[in-house]
Amino acid sequence: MSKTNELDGWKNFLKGRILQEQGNNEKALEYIDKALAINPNNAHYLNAKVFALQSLGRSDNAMAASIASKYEALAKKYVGKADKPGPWIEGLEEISANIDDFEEKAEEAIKVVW
Amino acid sequence: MHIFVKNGLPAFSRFIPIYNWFYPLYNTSPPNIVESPIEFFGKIIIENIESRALYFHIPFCSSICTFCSFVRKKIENKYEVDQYVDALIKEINIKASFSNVCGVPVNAIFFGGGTPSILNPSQIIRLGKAIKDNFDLNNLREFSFEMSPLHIHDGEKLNAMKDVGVTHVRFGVQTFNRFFRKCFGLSASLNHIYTAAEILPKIFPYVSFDMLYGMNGQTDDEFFDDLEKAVELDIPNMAFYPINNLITQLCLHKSFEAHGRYPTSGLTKFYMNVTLNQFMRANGYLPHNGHEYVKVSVNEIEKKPVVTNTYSFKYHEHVYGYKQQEVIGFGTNAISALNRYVITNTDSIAKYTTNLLQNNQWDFSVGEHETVADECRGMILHLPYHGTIDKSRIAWDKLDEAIVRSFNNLLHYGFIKESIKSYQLTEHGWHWYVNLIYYLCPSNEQRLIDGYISQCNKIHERNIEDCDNY
Repeated sequence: MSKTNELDGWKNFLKGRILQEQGNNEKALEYIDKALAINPNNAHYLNAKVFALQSLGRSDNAMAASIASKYEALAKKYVGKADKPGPWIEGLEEISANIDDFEEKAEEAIKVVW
Repeated sequence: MHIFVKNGLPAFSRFIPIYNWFYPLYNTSPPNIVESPIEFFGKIIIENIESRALYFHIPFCSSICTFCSFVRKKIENKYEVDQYVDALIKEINIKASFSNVCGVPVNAIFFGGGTPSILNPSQIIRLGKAIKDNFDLNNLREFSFEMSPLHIHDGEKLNAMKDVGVTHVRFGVQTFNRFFRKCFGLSASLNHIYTAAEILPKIFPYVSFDMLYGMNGQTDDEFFDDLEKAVELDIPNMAFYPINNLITQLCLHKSFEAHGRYPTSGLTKFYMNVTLNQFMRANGYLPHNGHEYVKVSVNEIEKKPVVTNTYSFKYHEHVYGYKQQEVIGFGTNAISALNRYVITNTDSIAKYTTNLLQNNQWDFSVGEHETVADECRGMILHLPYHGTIDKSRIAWDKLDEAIVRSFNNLLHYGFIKESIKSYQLTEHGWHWYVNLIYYLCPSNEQRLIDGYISQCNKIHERNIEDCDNY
């Protein structure tokens, strides 16, 4: 990802954040999704998506985004740390528990992050 | 305030609406008002103090900016500034007569205000001479002087600043946006700013300017417009501060409200700071502390450090530094941060000037704190603000246990990381550096900060932002 693209992601994200603050979660989601299209693994963008979806009452989609965000955070924390299987497995088990509850949507989310 | 994990991302439960403060605030007993410096300065211990920074406060301005909370007044005549400079020189001479004040090498000097460049050339020269005559400046690395772009065409003044040894000139821009400039009461025009950006780098080795962000209702377009224009000035150093609604003047709050502009939330200010960091990196700048950026080489950008060590603001190395670095302040409301003591000069310009000129003394309050507060300085201040602490500079066996627990929590959650010789902020930790300072402070310190915020919140004309994290 080029620096310009990465910055464009943040610019879209900030626009979304400010729209969220103004109470326009629907429009905010458009810009957060634009940011995610540039960097689908950005935990801040994913978090903002969860918040926007929750605010709009779309709990299933919010849970899917939440799972994606948690998976991304776990991967980032333990990437390259093959000597730490314990915490990695623990983290995955927690996410799996979420997946069981929202199987279909969550599978889509994990595919995106994977 | 606690740490929680928000969809995999560690976060603090609330934002702190103040962005810098003097540590420590907590005193072991109520501060004493001291009238005679002889009673006090002879007691200061300078064992193990490596260096000092000197701060000089010039509390005069041609007009008052509405975002400013420092002690200052609108200049009425040259005579009152002459009197103040005379008083300042007396304070310098009196304090420097104590070997434990002048006997520590000076690493940095900072003239702040107010508007230090309101001094005329003769006043600048007199002050410069008094400092040189009284202090060991062989180790001086940085002499900073704040100036208004209004004074850019005063060649004599700029020469006087250069003659006394000023190396770093700092000027205020704050914003390029006309609406916010009007609300702030800024008297310098954009032309003054562009001229300052062109002329000052030809005269002084280092030039820097200050910007504000997160003003009430600031849109993303307004925010990015400011950043783009800031970078276009092509100045190697710049500082970005989020606006502090606890200290801005009430008239500014009223002005914003009249225009339907409401406080930008703590969460949005947080993300403005994150985005600012990305923008500056894309334009060849890296942060060297919590607020300030420096232009660096392409190689340095590509290394992607959280904080660059290619440049350091020496004055802030002392204000937010280790136990072995102290600050001595001169002038109205100036603060001296020493081991065991925080000393604050009277905030009355008239009293300060009159007492010194007539009685060779001035009022200052002395707050005493426990030595453990000094031992923890590096961890509480240097790590969050400068991004790193050197393990060898911390007396780990003398630290407060509660602070060590907080520190280990920050390690656990990934706000800081460990290497062989140091601890450093992670990128995530840098974004949260204000909260890290608060989190690492002892509980009595946190209570004072909370109390101050609560007090400001009670003033109904003051609109403080929503600080909850969702």
